[in-house]
Amino acid sequence: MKIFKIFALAAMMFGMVACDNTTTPEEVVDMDAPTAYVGTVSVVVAGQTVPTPDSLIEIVPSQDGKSFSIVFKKIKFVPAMPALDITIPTVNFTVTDGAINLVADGIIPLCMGGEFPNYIVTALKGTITATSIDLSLKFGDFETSFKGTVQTNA
Amino acid sequence: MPISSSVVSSVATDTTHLEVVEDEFVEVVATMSQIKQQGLFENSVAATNIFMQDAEREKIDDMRSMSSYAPNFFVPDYGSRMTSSIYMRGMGARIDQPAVGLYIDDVPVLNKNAFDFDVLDIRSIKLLRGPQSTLYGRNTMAGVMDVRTLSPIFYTGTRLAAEYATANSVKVNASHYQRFGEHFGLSLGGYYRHTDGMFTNDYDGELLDWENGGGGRAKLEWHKDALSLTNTFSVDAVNQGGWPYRLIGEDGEKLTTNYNDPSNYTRLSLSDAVRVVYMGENYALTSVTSWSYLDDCMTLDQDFTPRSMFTLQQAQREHTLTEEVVVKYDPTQRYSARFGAFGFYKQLNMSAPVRFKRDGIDDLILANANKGIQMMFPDHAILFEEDEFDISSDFRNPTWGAALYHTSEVKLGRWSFGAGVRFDYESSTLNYNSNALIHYRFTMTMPRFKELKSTFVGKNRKSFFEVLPRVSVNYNAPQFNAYATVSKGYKAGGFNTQIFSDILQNRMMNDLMADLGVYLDQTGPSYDTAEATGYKPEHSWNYEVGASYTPTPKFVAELSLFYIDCRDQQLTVFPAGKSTGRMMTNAGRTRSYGVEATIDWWPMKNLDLRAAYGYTNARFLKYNDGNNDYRGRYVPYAPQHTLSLSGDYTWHINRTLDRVRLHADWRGAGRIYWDEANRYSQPFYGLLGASVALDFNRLTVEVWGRNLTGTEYDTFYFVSVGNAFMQSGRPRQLGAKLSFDF
Repeated sequence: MKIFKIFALAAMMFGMVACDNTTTPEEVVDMDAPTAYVGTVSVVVAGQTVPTPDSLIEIVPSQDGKSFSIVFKKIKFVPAMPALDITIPTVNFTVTDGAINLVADGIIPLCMGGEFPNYIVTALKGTITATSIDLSLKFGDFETSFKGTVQTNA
Repeated sequence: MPISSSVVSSVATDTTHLEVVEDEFVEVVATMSQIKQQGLFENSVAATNIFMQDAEREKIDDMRSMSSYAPNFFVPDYGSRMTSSIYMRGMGARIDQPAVGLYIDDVPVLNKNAFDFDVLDIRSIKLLRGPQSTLYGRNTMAGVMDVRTLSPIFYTGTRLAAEYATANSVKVNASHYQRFGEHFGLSLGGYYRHTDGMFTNDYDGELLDWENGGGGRAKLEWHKDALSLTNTFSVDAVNQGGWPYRLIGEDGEKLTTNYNDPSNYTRLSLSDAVRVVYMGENYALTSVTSWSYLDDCMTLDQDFTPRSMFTLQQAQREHTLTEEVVVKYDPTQRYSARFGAFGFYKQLNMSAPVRFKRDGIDDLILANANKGIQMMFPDHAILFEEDEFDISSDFRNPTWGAALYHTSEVKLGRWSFGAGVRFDYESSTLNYNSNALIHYRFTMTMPRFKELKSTFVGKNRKSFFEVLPRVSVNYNAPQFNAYATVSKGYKAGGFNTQIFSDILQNRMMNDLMADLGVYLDQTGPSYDTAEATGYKPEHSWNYEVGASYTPTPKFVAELSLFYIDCRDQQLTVFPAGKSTGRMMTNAGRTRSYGVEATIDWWPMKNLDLRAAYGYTNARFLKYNDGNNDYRGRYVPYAPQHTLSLSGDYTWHINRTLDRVRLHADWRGAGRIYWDEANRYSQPFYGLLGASVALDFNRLTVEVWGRNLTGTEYDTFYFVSVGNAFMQSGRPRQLGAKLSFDF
C-alpha cells in the first residue's frame, strides 16, 4: 500500500539531496485510504454537455495496492433517470512526475447490484494530484468527464 | 344539567325502591365520585343522569347505546368493540387517548380499547359534559361518564334476564345480591351474549360481525358506622368479527363488503378495586385502589379488498395500577373544600406486525421502487423472493402520572363561588423495535437474491406538566338554578404506534435503493423519523353558562351554552399516497360553540316525555397539514346536531298483569363530516325505537325494536391505501326479552 504514499515530484527528492536547500517538498498524495473528490460531472447527452456541479466521486485503492476503483456517486446521464452509484473496478495506474495517471478501456462497471455492461467504460484517462482530479471516459455511449478537488472534512 | 335536579326528576319518574335508595345512599355513604362532585361542581356542570329503569327502557347497557341520548354526546357504532370513538361538543378521538373519561364504580378505565363492554345491573349513569380535568385529570376534556352498579347492601334479590333478537342474537344475564347481617353484602353476576352478525362479507358469503362474549362481577361490601369497604372484581371476554367496511367506487357508489383475509378481535379484561370511605363529622375520606389488566388481539385485513395486500395483527397486554385519595372538608355551612391526589402506572406491551402479501408487495413497495428504474431499463425490475413478509413492530410503553388537586366553595346566600386547580404530571416512554427481512434482486444485474434487513429501533420519551384551573359561580333559587364556569381541559400526548409500518416501509425502500446505489427523487412525505411517532397534548378553555328551571316537580328544563377554544386538537389523519398507517396529528387550533337543551315533562300521571337537543359548531381556526389548509372547515366525525325524543306511557291493569308499558324513542345525529376537507358527510338521520313491556309482578315480558323504519345511514368513513371506505349503520332489529326479579 505504501506505493500510494507518492511523494509528488519524486525527482525533486533527488534535488534535495543535491543540496538545493531552498526547495520545498510537494504535498504528499496519500492514497492509502479512500479519497473523495467534489467537482462537476459533465455528461454529453444528445450533443449537449450537461454539467452537474457538487458531484462526488471516490477513489478506493485495492487491497494489493495495484489498482483503484472509481466510484461515481449519484450520477445521472439524463435528468429523468434516477441517480446511480457506479463503480469502475480495477483501474490500473502509473506515477509520473508525482501525479497518478489513470488509463483504462473496456471495463464493465458495477451498478445496481452487479455488472452493468450497458455502461461499459472506454477511453478512460485521468490524472490525480495531491489536491485535484481530472477524468474523462465514456459510459457506454455517454461521454463523461469529472473535474474536482479533494474533499476536506472542514 | 344540574345534578340535583336530575335526582329529583328521576325520583319523580320512578318510584321503585332502587331509585329511592339513590338518595338514601348519599346520606349513608357516598362514593368517591359523589364526594368529588359535591360542592363546587354539584350545581355548576352540565350533566345527564340516567337511572336504572330509564337505562333499561332505553336499552342503555354500554357507552354506544347512550349515543345521542345526552345532548352533543355521540358514539358511532362501527368497527369492533375496541373502537369506542366518543365525541362530545365537537371533541373526540378515533384512536389512542379518549376525550371522555369512563369510571365504573369509581374505577377509572384508562384504555379506550376496554370502554365497550356490557355493564351488568347499572344503577345509574351520570354523564358530565364539558371539561372535567380539574377533578378527573387526563383525557376528560370533553366529559366524564360515571357509571355505578347495584350494591348488595342496598339491594337484595336475584335478577335473571334472557333476550332473543334479530341475527340470532342472544343475551343472558343472571345476578344475585345477598346481605349477610347488617353490615356485609355480596353480589355475584354474570352475562353471556352471542350474535350471528348482520353484515355479510361477499368474498366468502359469511357473516362478519358475529360475536361471543361474557363476563361477570363480584362485589363485596362492608359497612359499619362511618366506615365502608368495597371490593369489586370484574371480568369481561370478547371474541368477535367486525369491520363490515364497504369500498366506495370511483363514481361514489358504495360497493358491498368484500375482503379476503380473516378479521377478528379477542379481548380479556380484568379489574379489581378496593374502595374505602370514612365519613367523619365534617369531613370524609375516600380511597380507591385499582388494578386492571387488558389482553387483546386484533387481526385485520387492513386493505379491506379481495386482494392479498396486507394484514395487521395487533396484540396488547396492559397492566394498570391507580390510586386516588379524596378528602372532603366542610367546616361550616358556608365553606367546603376538597383535596385530592391521584397516581397511576401503566405498562403496555404491544406487538403489531404488518404482513405484506403478494399484491401489497407488488403495489405498495415494488411499484414505487420500479417506477423510476423502469424509465431507464423497461425490461428489468426489482423482485422479492418472498410472497409475503412481516414488518414486525414491538413496543414497550410504560406511562405514569401523578396529580394533586383542590377545590373550594363559598356560599353567600343564594350565590356560591367556587375555584379549583389541579397540578398534573405525566411521563410516557416508548421503546420501539421495528424490523423487516426480505430477499431481493434486480433482474438486470443480480443473478441471485440478496438479503436486506431494515430496522428502526429506538426510544422516545414525553412528559407533560399541566395546571388545570376551574372557576364557577352559581345562583340557586327554589325553582331556578344558573351557573357560569370557566375551565381548562387537557388530553395527554402520546405516540403514533400505528405509523410504524409506514416508517419501516419507507426505510426498507431507502435501504434497498441505497444497497443498489439508486436514488429516486422524493415524491411524497417521508415518515422516516422518530419525530413522527409522537404527538402533543391537546388543551382547551371551556366557557359555559347554564340554567335549569323547575316550576313544578313535573317539569324540568335545562339549558347550557358553551364555547371551547381548543389548541393542538388531536386528529387522526391518513398520510398522503398509498400509505398503510394512520397517525394522530395536532390540528393547530379549533373552536367549538353550541347549545344543549333538555326537557323532562310528566304531563299526566302515566305519561313521561323527554327531549334532549344538542348543537355544535366546531371548526378549524388554523390547520394546515402541509398539503392543504383546512381553516374554516368543520371538525370531522363530530355531529353538528343530536336529538333525542322519548315517551313512556304506563297502564296499571290488575293484580295479575301489573302494568303495561309503552315506550318509543327517536334519536338523531348529523350532519357529520368525514374528512378535514369536508368533501364527504352523513346528513342528519334519525332512528326510531319502541318497546312494549308487560309486568307480571316479578316477571316482565318485553318486545322491542330498533331502527324500526329501516333508516339507511353511514357510521364511519376512512381512507386506506388510497381507497375510501365506509360502514353502514345497523338495519332494523327486533327482539324479545324475559326478565325475572325475585
